[in-house]
Amino acid sequence: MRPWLKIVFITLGAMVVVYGAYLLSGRPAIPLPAYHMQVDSTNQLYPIVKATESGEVKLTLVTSGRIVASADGKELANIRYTPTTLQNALDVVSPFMPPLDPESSLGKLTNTLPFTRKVPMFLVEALYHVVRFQFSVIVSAN
Amino acid sequence: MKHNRPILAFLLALLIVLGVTFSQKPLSATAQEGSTNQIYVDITFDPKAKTYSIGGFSEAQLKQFGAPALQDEIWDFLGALQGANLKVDSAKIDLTVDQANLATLNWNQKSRALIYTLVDTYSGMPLIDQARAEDWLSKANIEFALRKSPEISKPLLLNLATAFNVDITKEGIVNVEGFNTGTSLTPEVIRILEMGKISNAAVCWDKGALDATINGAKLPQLVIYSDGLSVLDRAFGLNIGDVQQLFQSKLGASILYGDGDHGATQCGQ
Repeated sequence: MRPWLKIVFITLGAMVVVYGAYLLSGRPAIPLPAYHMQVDSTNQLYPIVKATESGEVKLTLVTSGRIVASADGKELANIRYTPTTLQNALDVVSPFMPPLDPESSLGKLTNTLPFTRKVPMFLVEALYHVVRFQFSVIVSAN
Repeated sequence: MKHNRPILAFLLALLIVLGVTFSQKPLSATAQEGSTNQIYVDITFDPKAKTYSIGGFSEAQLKQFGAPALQDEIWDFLGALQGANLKVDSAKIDLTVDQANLATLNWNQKSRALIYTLVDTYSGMPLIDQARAEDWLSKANIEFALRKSPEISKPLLLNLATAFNVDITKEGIVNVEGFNTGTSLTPEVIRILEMGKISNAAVCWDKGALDATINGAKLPQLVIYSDGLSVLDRAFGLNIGDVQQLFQSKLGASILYGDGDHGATQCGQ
């Protein structure tokens, strides 16, 4: 067997074993570093952040289908989604969204390569079913 | 054979992973709660102070919703009363006054049909939708408790398996279970419904969890906690008061805009 083929198979095997272990452990969300954001009185989140005791609201997206708002160590609200319900929600709001400007770079890209419109939902599906991440934004008031 | 070891190891690992993936069972549905329409309304009254409380709300709070002050004749009557209890379920209606059983009416679907006919004939109200009335009464577990007490009444309990049928005409007139509520949607809301091509929706509130379906498509579930509502209350000065009742209640509505059928919306499923 050629050495490069051997390396490919060993790498693939290692990846499969690592993913197998991840799957066996119940596909836990992999936490990413939190992003800190400060808002001033002009921001719509400002009164909500100020109404908490700690003056801090944490928004967490877990790609296994949860968006959580918490403060002072307590959950305030959460949204539970699946790729299907998320797509349904997007279908409901889409008539109210302004049409994409065909002259913008995103407009040109989607017109030239129509399949790129499906990329965001493909990502949502992959992050929901295959590898899950947890991303937090900590919002504090100025 | 020696050269094929990496391939064999890869295939073995793949086999294990696929085996684990396909052996994972889907999550089973959670056990469903009893399918009843439970309503418990506690009413307290104090003839000395001439105050009353309904469903956990004080007289002052009820007056904010337009509740009237009771006349002296009513207070005279209530002064002579210790308490009363009215229970309604699918088999009987029980009325107890001052701990004594005053009246019991046994009924079933057949005898209720006779009552619907009598009401339709003599009341002059819109005709009763007998199938809908049965949807409510065949699962009824309703209790009104009237007590002489200066304390605030117990919180209102709503645990409804049957969803309210709400019909909105193209002109925006809102009917609930066939009764005109006297309210109409604003032209802006009608425009939103038309723009979104929304013809039907179902909304279910179950102790903090809000499930919604629009045009038959299920939307993400929103869960609100009492702490979250308190933060919104403080942030925007909503003065929503005690909301514990909301987090003990379950109710829903099937909303139809224009023509069509409601289907069988059941909350908590």
